[in-house]
Amino acid sequence: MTETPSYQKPSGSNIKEYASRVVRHENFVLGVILGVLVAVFGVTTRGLFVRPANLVNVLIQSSTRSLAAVGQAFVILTAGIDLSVGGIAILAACMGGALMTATPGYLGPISVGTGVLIMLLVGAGVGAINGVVVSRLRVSPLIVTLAMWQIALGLGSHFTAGATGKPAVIIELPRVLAILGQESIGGVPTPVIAFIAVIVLGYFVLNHTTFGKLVYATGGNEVAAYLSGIRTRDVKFWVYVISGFCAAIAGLLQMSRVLAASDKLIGTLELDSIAAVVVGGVSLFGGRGSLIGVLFGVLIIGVINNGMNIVGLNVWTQNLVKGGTIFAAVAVDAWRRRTRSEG
Amino acid sequence: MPGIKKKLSPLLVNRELLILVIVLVVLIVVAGILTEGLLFSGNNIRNLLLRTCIVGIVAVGQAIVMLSSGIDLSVGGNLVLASCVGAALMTTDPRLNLAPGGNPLPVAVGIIIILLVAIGIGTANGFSVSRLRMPPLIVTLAMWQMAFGAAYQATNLGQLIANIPEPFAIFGQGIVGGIPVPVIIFILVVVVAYFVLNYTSFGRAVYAVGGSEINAWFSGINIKRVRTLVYILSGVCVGIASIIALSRTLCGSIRMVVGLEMDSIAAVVIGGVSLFGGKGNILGVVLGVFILCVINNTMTLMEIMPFHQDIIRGGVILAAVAANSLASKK
Repeated sequence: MTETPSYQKPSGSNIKEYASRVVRHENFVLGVILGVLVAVFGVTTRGLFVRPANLVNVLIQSSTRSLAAVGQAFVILTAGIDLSVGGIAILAACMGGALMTATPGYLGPISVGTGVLIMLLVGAGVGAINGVVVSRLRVSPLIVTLAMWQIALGLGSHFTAGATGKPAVIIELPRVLAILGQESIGGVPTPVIAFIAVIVLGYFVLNHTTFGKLVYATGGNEVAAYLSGIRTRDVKFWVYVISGFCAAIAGLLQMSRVLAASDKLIGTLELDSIAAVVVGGVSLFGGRGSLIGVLFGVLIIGVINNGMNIVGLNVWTQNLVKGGTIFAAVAVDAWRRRTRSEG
Repeated sequence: MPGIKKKLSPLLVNRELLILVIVLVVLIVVAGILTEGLLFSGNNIRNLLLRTCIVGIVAVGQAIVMLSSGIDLSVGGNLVLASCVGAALMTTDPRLNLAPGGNPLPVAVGIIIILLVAIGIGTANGFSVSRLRMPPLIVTLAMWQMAFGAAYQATNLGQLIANIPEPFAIFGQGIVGGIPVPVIIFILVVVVAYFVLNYTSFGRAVYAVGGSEINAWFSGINIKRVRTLVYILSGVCVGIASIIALSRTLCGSIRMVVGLEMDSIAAVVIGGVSLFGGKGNILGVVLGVFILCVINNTMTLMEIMPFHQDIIRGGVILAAVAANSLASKK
């Protein structure tokens, strides 16, 4: 019991320093915020919120958002923005739905494998158009992706209209599709597995591959990156392809959860994904932030959304709260940048 | 021949404006043919002009913000909130009136409050962007969301607020000297904006800040003041548009306008203002507003499905920015 450990015991000041580093670390702050939110909703809903079934629910609901948020994080890390993710998700889902449904009057039915492949290709393709326009024509990403959002949403509605000419809900989709959204493997729901997998994959790419380094370099200082031989235009192109691809998977996941497709399948995915990324501490000015933070951001937004639903707030009041959350998160980010540049 | 050339020279000098005028004229002819003349019916012209005035006034504010390389996505939410608060204070409907004591406020006070609400939101945007150095996209997006949430409360959870005093109707429905009042207001706003941007030091500062912030800073321009003021001016424009929008229907509702932020940005972009700031002209924006509104109106007259309209509108915006980008590369 009295033997000393082989490593050097940290002195008092080191522990203090270490502790203060942990406390000052942004992910610690995010963790505390998450804990406080869970506690607050737990109390205000008289324990309803913290039941295990509901907590799993939060994770399932967050899965779609996490997919879009990871793609969004890649784009924002290069100091860009992708407002089209919600439109792309709906376009992919509605087009895939129209291709795979057994209901007459639509394009289908084709096999599930081909349908899913087409969905993913459409997502990546629309992302590629965003990427080309942003990186080659040097147009502000905001306006490109805003216009693309509208186009994708319109096309999505077009596919749900089928032969009738009026937007409708596409049903009669193959049961196999439900595996992704409704089953569970080893007791863990598949959406939660997808949620964790995409974060892990994104973390790996950003932190342990050359491409990840290029993303950070391009966002941190584009001119410096260009001068050190990085093809910044190509990096900027690929992040939009990744974002579009992720958005298409988000659409697939959501479609699989309800086994239906419509132009109202996903609410404000662009807003929620940006919120999650920004709350997670990724700077909108590019080059700073991590996917661990994004994970916290997704969870925080998920807890807020779910908690407000259980408390029974109406949609408009929820918007008020969500807008306030984003605003506060960005204010903190801006404040951090100011103190850093001045101190 | 030289005489004619000289006469036309001011128009020819600005090639971009000339192109926009040609596009607009061609568009009107094509739209007239496609709608079999429905475009030119008296009723439709009135509708088209009114929508043009509301979008146009907001677009002028948006253009000033975008010239300084900012963006204001809050305009739609801001307009709905200002109109709904004004409606809730002026209405004689006791269930919905929010004025202290339930007595409807006089129209003049209502107008002032509408302007104050809109300017207040503009000021909050400007303060956050310039002093807190937050990105305008997120600031105004969050503000847009919060404004809708607040408007929902002001309308007693999303109800229609009718019974607004009749005198208020003059701003949206009145006619002075044969010209509808909204058109007169729109012209005034454009003239003032043109004067401010071209003949005042503030106007030059807006262009300078948008063109290159560092150069502007080295020339001694108070960047924070300029950045705050552009959002306040956008708020003023939204306030004026709110009065017209509310006056036109005499009914406040959370669904008063749809897609105003998109339309105003599209009009500014079509009008040739660069999204990276520093370049563009308010007359181009006015032409952009007309082009956009004629397209929208024609699509409605042709009974094109709303979602197909979205596709076309998005395509028009993409084409406009791509054309701008390619033209400026040469």
